[in-house]
Amino acid sequence: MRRRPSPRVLALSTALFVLALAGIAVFIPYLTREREAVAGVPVPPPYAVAENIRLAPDQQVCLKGVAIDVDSEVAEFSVASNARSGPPLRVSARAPGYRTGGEVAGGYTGPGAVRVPLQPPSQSLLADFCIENRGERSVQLLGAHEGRTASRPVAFVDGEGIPQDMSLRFLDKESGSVLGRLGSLIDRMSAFHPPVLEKPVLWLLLALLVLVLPAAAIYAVVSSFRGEA
Amino acid sequence: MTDAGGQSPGLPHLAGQSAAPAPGGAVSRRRAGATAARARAAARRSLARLRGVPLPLTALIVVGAIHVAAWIAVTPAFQGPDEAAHFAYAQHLAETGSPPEKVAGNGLTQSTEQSQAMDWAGLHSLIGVVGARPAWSDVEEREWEKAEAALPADASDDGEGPNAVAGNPPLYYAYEGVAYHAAPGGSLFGRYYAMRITSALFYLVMIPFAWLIAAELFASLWPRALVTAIVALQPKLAALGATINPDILLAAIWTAFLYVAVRTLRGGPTRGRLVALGLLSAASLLTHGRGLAILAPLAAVLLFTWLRHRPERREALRGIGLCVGILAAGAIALLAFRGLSGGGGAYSGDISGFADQSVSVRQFVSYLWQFYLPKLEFMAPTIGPQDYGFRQVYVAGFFGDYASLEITLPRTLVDILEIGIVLLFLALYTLAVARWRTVRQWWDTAALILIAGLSMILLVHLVSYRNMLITPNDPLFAGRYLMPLVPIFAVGVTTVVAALPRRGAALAAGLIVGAEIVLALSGLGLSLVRFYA
Repeated sequence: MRRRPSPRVLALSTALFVLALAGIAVFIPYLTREREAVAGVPVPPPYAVAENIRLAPDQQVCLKGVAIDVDSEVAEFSVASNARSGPPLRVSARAPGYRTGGEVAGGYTGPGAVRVPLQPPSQSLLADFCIENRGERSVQLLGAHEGRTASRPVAFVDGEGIPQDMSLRFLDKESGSVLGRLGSLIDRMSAFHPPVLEKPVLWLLLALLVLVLPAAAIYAVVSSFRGEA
Repeated sequence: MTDAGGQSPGLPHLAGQSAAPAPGGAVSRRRAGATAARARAAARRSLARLRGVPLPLTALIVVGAIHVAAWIAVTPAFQGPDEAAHFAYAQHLAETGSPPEKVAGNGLTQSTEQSQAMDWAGLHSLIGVVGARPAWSDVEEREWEKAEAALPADASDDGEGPNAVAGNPPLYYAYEGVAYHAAPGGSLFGRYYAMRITSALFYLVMIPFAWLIAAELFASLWPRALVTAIVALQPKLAALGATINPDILLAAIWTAFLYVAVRTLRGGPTRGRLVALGLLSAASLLTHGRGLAILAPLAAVLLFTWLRHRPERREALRGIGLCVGILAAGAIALLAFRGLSGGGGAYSGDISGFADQSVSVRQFVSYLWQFYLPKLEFMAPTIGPQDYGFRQVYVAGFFGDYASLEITLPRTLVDILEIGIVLLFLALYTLAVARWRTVRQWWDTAALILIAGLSMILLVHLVSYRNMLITPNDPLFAGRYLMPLVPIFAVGVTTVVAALPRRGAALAAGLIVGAEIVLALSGLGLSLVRFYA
């Protein structure tokens, strides 16, 4: 006659089954899914109310003190006006010893996001990021004047300060999965942390989380069934 | 009267501090030797006690430590619920000895140092804004270090308010002040993370207390391990424990209180237990306005203990006097703080203020009904948001809604958890009916646990209702308010599992632990992607 499994075996196998199921059905797809690789968000999109920035022909809006990182290969901002044929725009980023930029050809439709390829710097730096209206019609850029999204970079139109922030983010050219970019994510986590939470500690913590936490939790419950026939 | 050596006989310890070689030197050496021997014996006893800690509990404390450390690392600074305001309170208290003001102040909700740190690290616009990311470039870190070095001396103590959480009592913030000053380096982020780590200790304290509660209620080892595992793996609790927030101290106090209360009920009142009940109740009052809810279970445990153990009248009065005296001292300390704190004042705006509102019992009952159940035809629409109730608080908010509530669990998972919670309530009810004799035998323990849970929930509902009379769109009832009740939830789950046949119980325990691990890792994964991907 076959022996029925003990409570310990039952508890252990059920817990492992749940973990395996979640791993296959949820964790692996989530961690390996390709997603946009954000390289930085100097100014986020509005939280509740947009207050756009109107750029007349030949006007230029600049954000001062924008951090551009070594993987900032694409700049993304949003045109907020209902344009069937948006005016051409010139995008530039400047800092001592660094200059990059690109053109957005006219004729795009809005509202929507506009992306411009950039040459990233060899090391992160603070730059002035500008967009100039090179067309003959005005254009509205997505911005906000809210306490929630107020950011460090300050916006100027033709050299004069304005109350709004202009939404802007940078992307890596290549998309990537969380698992594929784990090193970069851990690197980002360590920013503004004291030495006790620097990169090597974070890697150790990740290993403990993935290996020791499940093992110790399952051990605690399963081993407590000792003596239960 | 003094002895020949000029020392008071009432202060013998001073003899050991005398610089002059006293004739009593041999006595001092003997005393020092005796003290050292006592210390060695105490250390040996502590070690023996540590060796006596069950291995499953040790493993679960390790689980809790890893869990909360991961949350500390993955949640960027100031992203916990109202964390910027809590830090500002603690910093102002640590720097000046007084709390910030709730409505007045100098117009600075936080210190210049904190504001600049949040600006450079991109943490202000990150709060609750899903499209935002924290700053992570080397240049921003370097520039912040330069800016921090150039700050004037008063940049860390000028956050006089208004501060939205200034109405909170000072106990938690005073405790955090110790970490604030003790942090090495003196940088703002160094201090900040030292405060997070010391706050996480409260979460860790809950784990052994959960074990002790279960040890009072269950004879077998495995239910103790299951109760404790549910507490150690509860993702919302660990996420809260990883941030600067008095809610975690309140949860730790309530867990310890519940243990002492059950122990008192079962083992009888002792001086130590009554002192502990008084101290924990006073600490609850001094931690948060919601801590007032502890008065109901305190009254219940004193009454039930008297009914069960029938101590001699004089002894009972002395015990109650001791406990209530400590509580009264806590209340007086709170009032004194309120008097000293000027514009702030404990509980202002949070718990007080009912007298100013026109409260309708009918409207309150209707609100309560519609919070948990569908609206009946004859009822008017509930006060406040129409789609905010049991599911949002007891399910989505109890297990998820991390950071500043913007990291939510997937809908399907919330559906599954909601079904699980409803089944749990049904199973507990069925069990109570089916095992009525056991319930009657231990009616006081069951009633105490029920009163503890209901008093907290009722108080939060009252505060929520009162708040919605002023600002209808803000229900002021989040899932984290239920964190003091996590051990009760764990006991409820384990009671149902323990009622199953042994193999069924083992299967269910494995399922629950597996699911809790998945939930814990999911919460951390969602947060990692939200902030850094």
